Amino acid sequence: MENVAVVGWAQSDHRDTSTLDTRHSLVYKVITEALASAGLSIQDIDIVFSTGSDVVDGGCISGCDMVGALGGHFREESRIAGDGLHAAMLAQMRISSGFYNTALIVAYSKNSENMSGRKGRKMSDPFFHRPLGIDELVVGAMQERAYLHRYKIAPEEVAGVAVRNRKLGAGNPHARLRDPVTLKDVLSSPEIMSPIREMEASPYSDGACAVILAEDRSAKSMGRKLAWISGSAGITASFQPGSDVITHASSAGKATRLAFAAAGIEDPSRELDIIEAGYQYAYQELMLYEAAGLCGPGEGPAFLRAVEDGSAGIEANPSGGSLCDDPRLATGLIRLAEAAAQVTGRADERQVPGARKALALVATGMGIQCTGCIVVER
Amino acid sequence: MRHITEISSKVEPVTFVEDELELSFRYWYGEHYGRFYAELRDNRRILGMRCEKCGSVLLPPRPYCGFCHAPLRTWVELSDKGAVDTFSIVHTPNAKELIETPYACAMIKLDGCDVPLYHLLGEVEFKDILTGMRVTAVWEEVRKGALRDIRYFRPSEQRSIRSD
Ligand SMILES: [Zn+2]
Repeated sequence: MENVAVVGWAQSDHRDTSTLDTRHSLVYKVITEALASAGLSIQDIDIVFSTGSDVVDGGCISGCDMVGALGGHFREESRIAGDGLHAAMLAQMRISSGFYNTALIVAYSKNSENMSGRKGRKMSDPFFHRPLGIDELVVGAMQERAYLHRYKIAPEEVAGVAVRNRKLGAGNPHARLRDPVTLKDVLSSPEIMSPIREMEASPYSDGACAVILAEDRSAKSMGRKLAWISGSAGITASFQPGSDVITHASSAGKATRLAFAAAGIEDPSRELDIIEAGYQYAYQELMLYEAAGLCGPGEGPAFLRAVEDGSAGIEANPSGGSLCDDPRLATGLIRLAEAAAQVTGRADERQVPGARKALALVATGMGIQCTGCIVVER
Repeated sequence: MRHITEISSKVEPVTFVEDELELSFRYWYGEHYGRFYAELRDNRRILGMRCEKCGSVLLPPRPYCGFCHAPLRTWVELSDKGAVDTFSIVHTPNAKELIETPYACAMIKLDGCDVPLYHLLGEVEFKDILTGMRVTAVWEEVRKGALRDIRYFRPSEQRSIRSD
């Protein structure tokens, strides 16, 4: 099997509306920047993967209309339903097969263009959930309540996740929300679905991300620091959890166990330098730490305090994560770009000194039942 | 061909186009949902299925087990009573058949069932809703074969008024 490295990446400056850019120019711009960052041209790319949403785009098989902007004409091109991080895993597998040398992965969404209300409803089952208005926000709210109840976690601990991420996002030029907030700000922001407050929910954004992967020889010939993919996995759990499992992010648990095993990681809290996690609601960050084995069940808040005071020996979401911007479906691929930037020392103002090994993870869907994750290391 | 080297800043760009796509659906219930909703309508009964392989009792009825993927063949009648697993108060409407907001929704573990039923809570003040609270289905008199044939779940016992 070929080793695969992340050799180039770029992301847009995420906005609530990107007034003058079509999704095509948004995508073209990040592809051009990602190719330049890898020192490659589109002719050097063997396969193109894209992710986007037909519902958000408002078009049937809307990927077809994107092929030109993607540089996908007359080369292997496919689109997957889901976050771009899952597409990156597919690209990694294809390159590992030895039949392809390079892959371009592009993820985008222009949520501002879809005016038809909450998108989550369009994802839910029309037989059993939609008639009651059940969507990821409702399930998220119920999951948060179950999680807080089971482990006696105070709402302030969850609000603290938002405060911390917004503080970090202030130093990220790509982030949409770049103003720090206080605990009081978060706790007095409107309750959009109790107990979830507005500032604890990721803001739907417009944005795009492009990442380029290459096999061993091509990557090494580039003569620069590389972020090697040492493990990856994607797992989907049940869509209908009960409270015995809803308080545990079981898909993230299994996905990280598989990825860590592939990467030879035995103690993630000691071996990882960085975790970049994408999700929709603040409480999920705490659940994801627990699921990834960085701490025990219910210990997410304590772990976050240890991250904050430096005693955890790991940095979480140095980019500010998805609470600062959530271009849905690009959110996870951005985590991979951020992780690759960190381990290669190219993360600019948000660089964590000495970072060598990072986990990029994205958890999506009702009750975060779907997780993809990739370990990258120098 | 004349080259245009700069675009006049006097030109106000055209910014967007409005569009509307009509998307309407008729989803067929099929055998399992068809029977489930007919039982709600005609007999005020909530039917689930038991997996003969792993023993789970599941809702909604489907031809396969959500836990172990075995085929499901055994129908079981579930209680219309259960306990609140977790809940939320909905402030922004999201259902097509609009439910007046704010309202309480919950995951309800019906007695004997291994997966929760998502439904509404009624006849209770929001502040009195508790995780673990016992609830009972309140059925509509006129039923159409829909989830809302159950109007909502109400607390099984009236909470005693606190005397401080
Ligand atoms: Zn089973």
